[in-house]
Amino acid sequence: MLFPGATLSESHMAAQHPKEGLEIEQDMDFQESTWRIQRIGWILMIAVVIAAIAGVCGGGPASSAEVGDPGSGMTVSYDRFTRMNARETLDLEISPAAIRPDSTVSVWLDREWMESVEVNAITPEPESTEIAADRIIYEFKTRAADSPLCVRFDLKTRTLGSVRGRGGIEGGPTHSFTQFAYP
Amino acid sequence: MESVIRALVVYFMLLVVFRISGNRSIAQLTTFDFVLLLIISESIQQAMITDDYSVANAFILVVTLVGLDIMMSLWKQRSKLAEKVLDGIPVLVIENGKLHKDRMEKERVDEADILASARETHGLERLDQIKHAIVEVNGGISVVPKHR
Repeated sequence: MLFPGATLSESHMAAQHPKEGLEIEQDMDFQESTWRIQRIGWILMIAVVIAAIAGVCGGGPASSAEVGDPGSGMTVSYDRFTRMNARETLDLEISPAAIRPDSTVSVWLDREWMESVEVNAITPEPESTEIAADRIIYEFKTRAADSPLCVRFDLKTRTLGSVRGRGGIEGGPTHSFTQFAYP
Repeated sequence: MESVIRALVVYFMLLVVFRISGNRSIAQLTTFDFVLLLIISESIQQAMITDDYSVANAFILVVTLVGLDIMMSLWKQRSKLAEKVLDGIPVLVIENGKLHKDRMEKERVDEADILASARETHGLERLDQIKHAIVEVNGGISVVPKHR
């Protein structure tokens, strides 16, 4: 503001030639759409966070599911959404009715499904493991035949996408469940 | 092969996330932003290397990432549109002394930011000494003073 006159003429000239002196590419249409896409992106990011909290990306209320009931001999608790290379658990709750008179119980899981996971641990450990054409049969022994038996499979998801699993008590009804693994 | 795919996915995922978050997000590297960058790199690292800690894997990842970066820069050099889409364009927020409030708001820049940049680069004292102020593609604000 040392030379008010100069400022005036300069700004006057600049108003006539707005791009004079400043060699810059302006594309406000492009910028407007960039801003719009950014706002949409922010909303999407918030949506991802909310979905993740809900468990849609695995490990949350929307993810844990159950199939079967004590009446059918077994309840399978599984994760609807899993992630490749991440841990997951499969819980089997076996009702006392399914336990045989010799205090043993045999449960089976689909072999194809078992190939989509890596079994890190089975708690408690089965007495024996048998392989059949389409299934793997685990036999457990219990001393408390009048209380439910809980078996936990600690797994690691190895495949991507949707997999269908089946399981049940040997000779009992089949329980099917579907899981989706994120990359 | 998996390492290359992982590197590709991570590269483009980060590209999209940072482009969406806007240029200003990375420009003002405050202490917290610095920590945030460290945390982001830490979380990404796990997804890229998973459980393969071999030198070969690290080498493949680095070559893939650097190669992608070179390819992107070559593409940007050839295509104006690619440059605009990937890097964005500079935005004039003060044009001949006139403030574009709407653009400032959308670029998340306020008068204090522009004044800070004006002080740093030209030792200017007031807003009316600024002829042009531009939010550059790297998120920084460059200032052209009225008098030199």
